[in-house]
Amino acid sequence: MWKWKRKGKQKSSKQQPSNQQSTKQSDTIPKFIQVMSNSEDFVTYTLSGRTKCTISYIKTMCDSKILNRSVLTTLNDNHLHTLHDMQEKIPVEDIQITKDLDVIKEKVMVGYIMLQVRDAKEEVLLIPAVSLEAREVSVPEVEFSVVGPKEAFVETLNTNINLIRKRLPLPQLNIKEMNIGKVTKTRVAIVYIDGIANQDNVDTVTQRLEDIEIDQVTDSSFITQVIADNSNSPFPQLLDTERPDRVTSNLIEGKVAILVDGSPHALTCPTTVVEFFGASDDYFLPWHLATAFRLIRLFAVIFSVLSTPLYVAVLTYHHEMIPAELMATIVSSRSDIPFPPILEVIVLELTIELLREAGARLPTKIGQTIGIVGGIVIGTAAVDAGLTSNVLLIIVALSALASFTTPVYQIGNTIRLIRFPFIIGAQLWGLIGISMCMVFYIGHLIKLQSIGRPFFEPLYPLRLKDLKDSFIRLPFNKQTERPVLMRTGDPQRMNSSRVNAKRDIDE
Amino acid sequence: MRNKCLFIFMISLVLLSGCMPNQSVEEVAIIQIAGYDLGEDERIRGTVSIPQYGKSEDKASATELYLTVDADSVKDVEKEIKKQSSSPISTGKLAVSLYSREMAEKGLSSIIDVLSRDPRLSRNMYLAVVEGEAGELIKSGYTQEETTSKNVQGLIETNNHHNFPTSSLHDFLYAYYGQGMNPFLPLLKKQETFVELSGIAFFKKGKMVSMIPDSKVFTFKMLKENFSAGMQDLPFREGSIMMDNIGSQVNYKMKGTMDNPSFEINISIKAEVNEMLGLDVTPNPQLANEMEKAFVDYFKKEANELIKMFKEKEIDPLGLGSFAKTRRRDFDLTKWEEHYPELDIDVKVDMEITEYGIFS
Amino acid sequence: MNKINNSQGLQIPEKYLVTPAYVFFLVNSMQVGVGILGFEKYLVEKAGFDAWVSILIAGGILHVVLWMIYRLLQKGGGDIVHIHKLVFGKYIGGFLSLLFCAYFTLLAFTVLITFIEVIKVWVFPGLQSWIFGFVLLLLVYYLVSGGFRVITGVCLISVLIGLPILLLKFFPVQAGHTMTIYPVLSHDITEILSASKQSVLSFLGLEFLLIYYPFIKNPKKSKKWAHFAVFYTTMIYLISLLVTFVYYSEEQLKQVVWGTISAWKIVEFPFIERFEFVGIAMWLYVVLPNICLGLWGATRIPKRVFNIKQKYLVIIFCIGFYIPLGFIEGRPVIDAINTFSGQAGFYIILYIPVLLALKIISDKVRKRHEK
Repeated sequence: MWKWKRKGKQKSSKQQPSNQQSTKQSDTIPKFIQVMSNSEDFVTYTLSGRTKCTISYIKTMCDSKILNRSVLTTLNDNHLHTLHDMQEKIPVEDIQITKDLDVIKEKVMVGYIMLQVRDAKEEVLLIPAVSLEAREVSVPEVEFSVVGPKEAFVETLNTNINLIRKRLPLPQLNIKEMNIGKVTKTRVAIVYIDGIANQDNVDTVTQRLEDIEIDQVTDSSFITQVIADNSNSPFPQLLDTERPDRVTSNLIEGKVAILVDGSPHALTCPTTVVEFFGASDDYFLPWHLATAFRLIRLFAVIFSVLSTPLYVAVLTYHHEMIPAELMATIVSSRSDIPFPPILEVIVLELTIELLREAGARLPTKIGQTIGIVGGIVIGTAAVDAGLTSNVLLIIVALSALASFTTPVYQIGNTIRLIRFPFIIGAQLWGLIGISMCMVFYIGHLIKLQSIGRPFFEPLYPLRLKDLKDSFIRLPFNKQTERPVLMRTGDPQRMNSSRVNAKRDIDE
Repeated sequence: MRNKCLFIFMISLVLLSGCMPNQSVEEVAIIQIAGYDLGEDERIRGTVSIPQYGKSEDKASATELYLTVDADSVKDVEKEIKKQSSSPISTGKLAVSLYSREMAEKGLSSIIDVLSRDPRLSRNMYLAVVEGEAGELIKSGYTQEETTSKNVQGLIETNNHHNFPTSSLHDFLYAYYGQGMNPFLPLLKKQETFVELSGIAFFKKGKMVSMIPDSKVFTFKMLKENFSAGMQDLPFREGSIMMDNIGSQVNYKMKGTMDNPSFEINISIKAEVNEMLGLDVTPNPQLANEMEKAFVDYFKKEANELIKMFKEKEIDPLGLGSFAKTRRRDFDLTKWEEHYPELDIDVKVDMEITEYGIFS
Repeated sequence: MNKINNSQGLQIPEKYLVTPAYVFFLVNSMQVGVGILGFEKYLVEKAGFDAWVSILIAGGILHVVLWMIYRLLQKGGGDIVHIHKLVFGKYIGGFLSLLFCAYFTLLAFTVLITFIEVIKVWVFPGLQSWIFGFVLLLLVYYLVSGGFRVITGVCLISVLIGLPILLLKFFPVQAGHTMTIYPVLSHDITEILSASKQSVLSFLGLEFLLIYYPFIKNPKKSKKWAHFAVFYTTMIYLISLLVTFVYYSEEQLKQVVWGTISAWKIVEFPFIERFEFVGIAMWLYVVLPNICLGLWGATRIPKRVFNIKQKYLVIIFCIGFYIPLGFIEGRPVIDAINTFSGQAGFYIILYIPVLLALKIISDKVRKRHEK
C-alpha cells in the first residue's frame, strides 16, 4: 500500500503541468464564446433595448423562467449601464462580477447567464439560473428496510447534503467541496463533524481525493476504487450506502463521508469488515433481536462461502467424515453424475452466477421471471438429466440465497467471488486447502486498511469495546462510547452515569 | 511482466500437479462391515459387504455386494478384495468388524495391531465375536430397508445404551493395551431371520477365554460402569418382576497393602418396577422393601459368581488391576497377577425402588 | 515496512508497535504448536501417569526463565542483538546472535516439516511435499512480508481458533475413565524431572521475546501478560495431558504417536464424523504463527547484525526451507530433527541465565570504569 502512495504522488506531480496547459487553450472571453458557439444550444445575443449588453448562456442548462421573468424584464425596464447597476437591480440572488476566466467558464458550463457590457470588456456579470433536472427523493431500493426512514440519496449533491443536514442541524457539520475528474469536474464533498471526526482521517481523505488523477467520476464507486488503500483487494474499503440515516449515524460515530455529485451513494470511512454485515434495520429493532439477526447473517455468509468448497473437499477426499445416515443420500444422489464433484460445483456455481447477472441486467419484472424460470427449470432439468446431484443443487441454491443476506451490496459481490479460490483449494488438498485459503483471506484482512485504519478491527486489533456493536449489538445504554477505531476527539457519546442510573423500586 | 508470467506458470504448475489422487465418494467401494473366519491351512477367510446405492428413487431398498476371499493376513484380505472389486476399496467407514469364535479363541493379536495402526479407521467402530461363521452372518441379509452393517451396528449401539457395556474399538484397545485389565467383546449369534446379541466374550490379551450369556450381562455392566438404562427380571414369590434401571452407580474401593489387597465394590441402583407378572398385590412400601431385598440378594449372588469366574480364568475385565495401579504407588504387575486369584472382593449392593409406573 | 532504522533498530516507529496485551497471544501461540498434538507419549514414557507433575514443574521453570528474559531485556534495553553487542562486543556478539538466528530457523523448519508429516500420516499419504510446501511457504511469505503487526494478528487468530478446539476435549472425557485420575506419585524424582525437561521442550517459544521485545509498546506492562500466557499454556498442556490420561490407558498411551489427534477421532456430530480431518485442517491456524514468527525472528537477526533488507532475507530463508522439503521424509528423520531442535532449545534456555549473569557483571565492570 506504500507503493500506492508513492506512485500516486509521482503521477500527480508529473501530470499537474499538462493539466494547466489544457486550460489555457482559450484564454479570452471572445475566444471562449467562439469555442462555445460550436454547440447549437449555446445562445449569445446583444440586447439593444434600454440596456445595452450581451447575453450568453447555454439554453439547455438555464432556467428560462429566471431568464425571462427576472433578467430580461429588469434589463428592458431599466437603464442600466454598469455591471454594478445590473447586479443591484436584477432580482436574483448571488450575482457575481468577475474577470476570472476559469470561474466564468465553470459557471457558464453549469447554467449561469453571462452578461457583458461594452465598457467593461474584461468583467462579466454571472447570474445563476441553473436548471437542475433531478429525480425526486425516493425509497431506498438497495438497502431497503421495513421499519425506519424511507429516504434515499438521489443524484444531486445539494439534495443529498440537504438530506444529511436536516438530520444534523449542527454548526460543526463541515462540508468541504472539490472538483475531481479532468474532464467531468465532478463536485465531490467531504462531510464530517468537526470535533468528533479525527482530523487525521479528514486530512487523509482530503489528501487522497486531491491526489486523484482521473478523467471522469461518474459515480462514487470510482472514488472507492481509486482511493482504496489496496486497490487489488476484493474487499471494498469504503462503505457505500444510499441511506442518509446511516450516513448520519456514521458521522456521529466520527466517520468521514464522501458525497459525489451524480451518485446516489455516499461513502463512509474508515470502515471495518464487520460493518458490512450490519444493516440499519439492526438499530431499529430491540437489541437481542438485532443480535440474533446479525449472527444469522454472519452464519449465512460463512455458509455461503464455505458450503460448496466443503462439499468438494468431503466428497473428493474425506468421505470418512460423512455420517452413515447421510452417506446413502449423498451417494445415491451422485451415483449417476458423470462429473467429479469439482466440475459439478463449478458448473452449478457458474449457472447461478449467470442467473444473477441476467436477473440484474434485465428490467425488474422480466428479471424476476428469469430468476424463477432459470432457477426452477434449469435446476430440475439438470437433476433429471443426471448432470448435477440434487444435494448439491440445494447447497448451491442455499448458498446463493445466503449471499443475498448481506445488507451492503458491495460485500455481496465480494462473497460471490471469494468462494472460487476456496473451491480450488478444496480440490487441491481437501479441508487443508480450504484452511489455507481461509488463512490467506484472514491474513489479507489483517493487512488491509481503510483510510489508514485497520480494516479487520475489532477482531484485530482486538478491541472489546468495539465488539459491542459488531457481530452483536448491545443496547444503546451499553454503547456510551464512540468506536475506538475512529480515534475520535470526543469519545463520549452520552453521559454513561446518567444513562445507567439505577432507580430503586417504586421511586 | 516477467514476474507475472512466472507467477501464472507456478500457479498452473500447482493446479496441474498439486491435486492428490482422488476418488469421488460414489466411485469407491465403501466397506462397512468385515468378518473374518478361519480358512483352510491357517489362512484367514475375509468377508466384506459393500453397499450398493441405487439412484435416488429406489433409495429405500438396500442392496449389498458380498465378497469373500482367502488370504494370509488382514491387510492381505484387503489386497485380495481389491482384485475382485470393480472400484477402489475404502476401509475408512468400516463400522463393524466381526470375528468367528474359533478365530477369537485362537487369538486376535495380529488383527488388533492392524486396527490400532491404521489412521483411516474410526475409533467408534464396533468389534464383535460371532458364534458360528462371521461370513455367514454378513451374507444373509435381514431386512429390506437396512444393510447388514447398519443392522449390526445399530444392534450393538442400541444395546450399548442398555444392558450391554460399551464396547467400541477404543474401549477394546484401552483394555487390551492397559495393564491390569482385560478386554471383552459382545457375542453375536445368527438366528433364522435375525441377529441377536447373545452374551459377552472375555479376552485374555488377544485370546477369547470365556463368555457369559446375555442373562448375566446386566450384572456385569452394573459392576463395570455407571449407567441409567437396562432391564433385569427376577422370579419373585409366585411370579416374576421386571425392574427398569434409572440410575446405577458403581464405586470401587481398595483396602490393604499391595501384599494383601482387598476390594470393595459398592453399587447403588435406583429402579422402577413396571411389570409384576403373576403377583396379585398392590404395591406398597413393604412390598418394595421385599423386592429390593430380593434384587440385592440376586445381584450379590450373580456378581460373586462372575468374579469367581474371572478369578478362575485369571482375567480382569473390571479393570481392578488398573484401578489398584492408580491408587497404590508400589503397584507391581507380576505381584498383582499372583495375588489376583485369591483377591478378596466384597460386593455391596444398595437398591432403591422409586416408582411403580402410573397405575397402581 | 522496512523503514526501520537499521543502525539503531531499537526505535521502532509507533505504527509498527503492538500493545502489551498482545504479548499474551504472541507467547501463547508460539508455545502451542505441533508439539501439543503428540507430546503425551514422550512424557508418559518417562513418568507414566505422574507426568502432570512434570508439566507443572516445567511451567514453573518457564516462569523463572521468563522473569530472567524480562530482566535481561529491561536491563539491556533492546533486543538480543543489542545485548550481545554490549556484552560480547561486535564480533563475538554478532556470532552468538547468528546462533540464535540458526535456532529460530531450525524451530520454524521443524514445525513446518512436522506439520507436513502429520498431514502425510493422517490425511494424504501421497502428499507431494514439494508442491504443498511451496504453497504453504508462499502463504508464510505473504504473512511475514506484512511485518510484525500482521504476524501478531495471525497469532491472535490462532489463539482464538484454538479455543473451540479445546472444547472438543469434552468428547474424550465423556468416553474415558475418570477413575484413573488419582494423585498418587509412583515415579521417583529423576523420572519426573526428565519428563519435565521433555515438557519444557514442547513449551519452547518464549525465546522469541528476545527479538520482538522492541516492538512492544510500553514493554514493562507486557510482563504480566507474558506470565499469564505461560500460565495459560501450562494449563492447556495440563488439560490436554489429563484428558489423554482419562481417555487412554497408560500402556496404550505409550504406543499412540499422536495422542490428541487420535482422541479427535471419536468426536461425532450428527452432520459430521471423524473430526481429526477438521482438527488437522484447523491446526494450520495454530502452526502458521509458529512458522511465521520463527521466520520473522530468524530473518530479523541478520538484518540487525548485517543491515541486510529483511525482505530479501525472508525470500532467501523461504527458499532455504523449501529445498530440503522434498528430501526429508520418514518418521525417523523427522523425529531426529525434532529431538535436535528440542535439545537446541534446551541449551538456549540454559544460556539465558548465563547471559543474564554476564550482563550484570559487565554492567558492574562498566560502572567501575566510569568511576
